Amino acid sequence: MNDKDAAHLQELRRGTVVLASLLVLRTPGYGYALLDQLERAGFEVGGDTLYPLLRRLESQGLLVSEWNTDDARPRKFYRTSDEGVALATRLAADWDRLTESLHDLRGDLS
Amino acid sequence: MTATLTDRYVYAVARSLPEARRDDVERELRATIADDVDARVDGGAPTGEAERAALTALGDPARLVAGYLDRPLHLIGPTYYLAWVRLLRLLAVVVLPIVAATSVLGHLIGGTPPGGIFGATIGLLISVAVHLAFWTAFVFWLMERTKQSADLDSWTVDELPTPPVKGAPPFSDMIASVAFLVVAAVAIVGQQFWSGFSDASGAVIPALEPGLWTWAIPILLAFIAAEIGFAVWLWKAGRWTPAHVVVNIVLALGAAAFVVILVTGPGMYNPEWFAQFGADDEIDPLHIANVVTGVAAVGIGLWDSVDGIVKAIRQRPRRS
Repeated sequence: MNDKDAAHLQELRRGTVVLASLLVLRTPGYGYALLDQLERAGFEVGGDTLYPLLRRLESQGLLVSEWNTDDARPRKFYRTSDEGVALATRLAADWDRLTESLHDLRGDLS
Repeated sequence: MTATLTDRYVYAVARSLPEARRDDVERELRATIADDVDARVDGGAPTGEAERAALTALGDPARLVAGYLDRPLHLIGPTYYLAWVRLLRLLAVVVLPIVAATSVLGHLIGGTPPGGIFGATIGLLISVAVHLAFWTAFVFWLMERTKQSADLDSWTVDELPTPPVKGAPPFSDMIASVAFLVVAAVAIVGQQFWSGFSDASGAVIPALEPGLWTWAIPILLAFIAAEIGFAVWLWKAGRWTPAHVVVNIVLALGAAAFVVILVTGPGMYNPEWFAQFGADDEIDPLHIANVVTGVAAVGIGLWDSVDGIVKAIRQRPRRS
């Protein structure tokens, strides 16, 4: 894949990480585990993007966080708030709509 | 104990964050890096290399900081970039030739040999170009940092600019006027500190009468400021209105009259400065300078007044 492709792909994927994170974190999780989960699910995202993003979503009230000190290593756990779940639902619906539209547009190309 | 790579990385991030958020981010970051290192060690990497690899994967701390602060990683973003480039190009086209011409003229009068004129002018041009680029970039950088997203959201079609009518004052006229006036103001102030001559004690001999600082020079600078304001006002209006014509005449003739009063009355130039050119019984350079200045002031004032009238008549009536 050349640079131009990579740039467009990145552009296309921007925003998908937000939706994926909100969906995954309906079960509380911490940054590194989420990164790992997203990578395995096929979302290419770096820590330098994801960790600040989690804090941004938290400051917007879409995530809530809590320090878990039960383990030897204290971790900050994030959970999707009700507001976050509502947003994720709307985003996912829009995603589905886009998928349909895209199929229509592609026509016999697919 | 020496700081580990992780310590250094976390420090690099934490030091740039606001105090209130520092500890929390630092704790989370440490846990995250440790998790990653563990995962890599479990995968068979040696501990030292695992730490290095984990931090490399996390990338430049500055990027992470920018993410946490939600701060732009560019000087001038897409909102202002084109405006900046346009302004810079225009300023370069207008200001640099004026500077070059002024420099060459100044050195010719001063009797600098041709080689020296060339070198000094090139040097001056580079310096002015760097200043233009820096200060415009600085202003746009400030705008970029202080812009409110509301500025962009609250846009309405009413803000669309009106295409200039034929014969309307062009942007380049405005910039040229402003650039010239700024050069004039700098010259008026600058002659106090650099006039080409200094007395026995090394003090600069100003070209203008120093006594004028208490009243006439501020008035001259006020005229210049008013002319700058007028140039911008005219350009913003996009056409010559009767008010523009009248104000233009008042300013032009007012400034001319003021200069004439100066040269005929208290004197505008510093006799000491003219004495530096050497005494001559036949011609008095100070007298010549006074006459030339007075005539030029009246000529320019009249021409400027008529110019405004002619331009106002020539412009096509506004389409309704």
